[in-house]
Amino acid sequence: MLSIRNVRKTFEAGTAGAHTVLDGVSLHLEPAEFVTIIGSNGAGKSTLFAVIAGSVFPDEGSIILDGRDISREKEHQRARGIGRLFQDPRHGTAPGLTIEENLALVYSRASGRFPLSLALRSADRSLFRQVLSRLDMGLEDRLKTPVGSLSGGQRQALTLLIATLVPPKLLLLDEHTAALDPVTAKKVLNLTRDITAAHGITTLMITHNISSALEMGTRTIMMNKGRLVMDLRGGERAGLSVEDLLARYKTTVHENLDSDKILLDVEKA
Amino acid sequence: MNIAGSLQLGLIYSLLALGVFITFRVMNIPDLTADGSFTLGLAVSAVFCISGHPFAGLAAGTLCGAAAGIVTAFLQTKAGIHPILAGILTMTGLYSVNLAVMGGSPNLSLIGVSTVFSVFQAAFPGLERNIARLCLTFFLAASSAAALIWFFKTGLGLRVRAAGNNEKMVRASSINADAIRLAALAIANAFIGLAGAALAQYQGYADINSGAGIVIVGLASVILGEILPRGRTTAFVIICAALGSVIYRLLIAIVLYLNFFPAYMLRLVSALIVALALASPKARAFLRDRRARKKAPLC
Repeated sequence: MLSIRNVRKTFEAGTAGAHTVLDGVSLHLEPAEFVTIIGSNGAGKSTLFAVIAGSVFPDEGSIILDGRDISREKEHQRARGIGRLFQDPRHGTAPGLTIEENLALVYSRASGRFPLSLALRSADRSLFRQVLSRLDMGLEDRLKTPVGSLSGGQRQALTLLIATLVPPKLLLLDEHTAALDPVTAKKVLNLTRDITAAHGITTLMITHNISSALEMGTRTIMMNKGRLVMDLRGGERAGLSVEDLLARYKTTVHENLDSDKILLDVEKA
Repeated sequence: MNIAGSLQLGLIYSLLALGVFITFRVMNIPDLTADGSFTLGLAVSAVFCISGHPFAGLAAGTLCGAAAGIVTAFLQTKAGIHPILAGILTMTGLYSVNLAVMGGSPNLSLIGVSTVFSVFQAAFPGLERNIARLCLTFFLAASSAAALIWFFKTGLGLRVRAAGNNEKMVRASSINADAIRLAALAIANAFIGLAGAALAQYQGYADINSGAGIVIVGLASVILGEILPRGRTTAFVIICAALGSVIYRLLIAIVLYLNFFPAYMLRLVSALIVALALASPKARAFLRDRRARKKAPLC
């Protein structure tokens, strides 16, 4: 479904501050595969997403999505096939627009309506109510509530719903539960699992939580200094505990997986 | 006091308020094209009237306003020029264009030339002149407000609102944010061009300096409209913006009638109104802070 071929990216190339963020990354994802990505801060995870989504252009290499080379396409052109969620729940929705307007924003476009025709029809509302009820947050009765007055968890769940309302070919989740409290994070993760499984959406998920990296999906890759340093799947991944993974990280890159944040996540898990 | 005249002018300028509302309030971009696009609409409309086509003059004024907006949008997005500077550039360039449209003369008179107002008056000879003018300006303002309300219910309108509300989100979505900005600026300046076009025919002349400082007039109207009881629906907010312009003209009429200050002070007063209104959130926060500090125990 997705092929990344030897992608390189150096920021501020040719200056004293030049740093290579992606150093020849190649990755192939099968349709409906759900891959989790872990790695230290600055390993290049988010830049990899930016390169796939088109907000950053690589110096070298190509991105092929569903058999089509999208390397030259602009961000908004690629977004037709790619759904994205960010860490900040405020990022994915328009706060001043109501829940139904946020849904209609994507839905009216995806259903191919003429831009100057009514964006929100009564048939849409019943569809929105039905999909919102799956979130089990009572949002189906608050269609006219501005999204800005929802909690972070509700907003992120809504963003996930909007991103998958018309199932994308690829879903990019960049620590989308990191800003949520543990209970809400769990809920949004379960939703993520259910929705991606139901539609067979090919998914890449960055996380700092090692246990959810192992629990979610079928494959885990690890990045370090702009390279893929580990690619675990199948039986090799199945029996792995958080401690095993941290130990393997240490032997692979000869340093501890960084940040207090990860250690905390390990303790929480 | 000329209340009917103020109402008529207020209704014409409400089109300007709608345009300013789209850029400043919905899109959150300070667009200074208005000074130029307003006069462009005025000039084009006057020239069409002189050649005997008053209705085409309104349409042409609208389209030319939209074109001016497109130029600014192009400078902002493709050329990457700061939104304020982009607007100033278009406005400055338009000064020459407007003079060229008016054949190099700084003003054109429409005395004895048929305008939409004289045509309307001729069609309904029974109506008193002021009533006829009021009907026509009201029709113009109401249909424009209705069109804008409808626009914001369409898919494109929803995208414009979303782009103004969370541009980051729109940039990461499949929506072409630059195209949305272009559409918004074109539509906003179309309304402003139409306001100028209607004004030329209403007052019976076109003057090259009619647009000077007009952005502030529009902004003052929008702000006055926001004093009205707030509603949540977009339709309500749009109607308030249009009404704000009528309130603005009535206030001016009252102030001039009471002879508080000479007419030439109006621009200064408008600027003060806008400055005060824009400063009010900061002033309120300052006062709240000070009160809190006074209440807090010394330690």
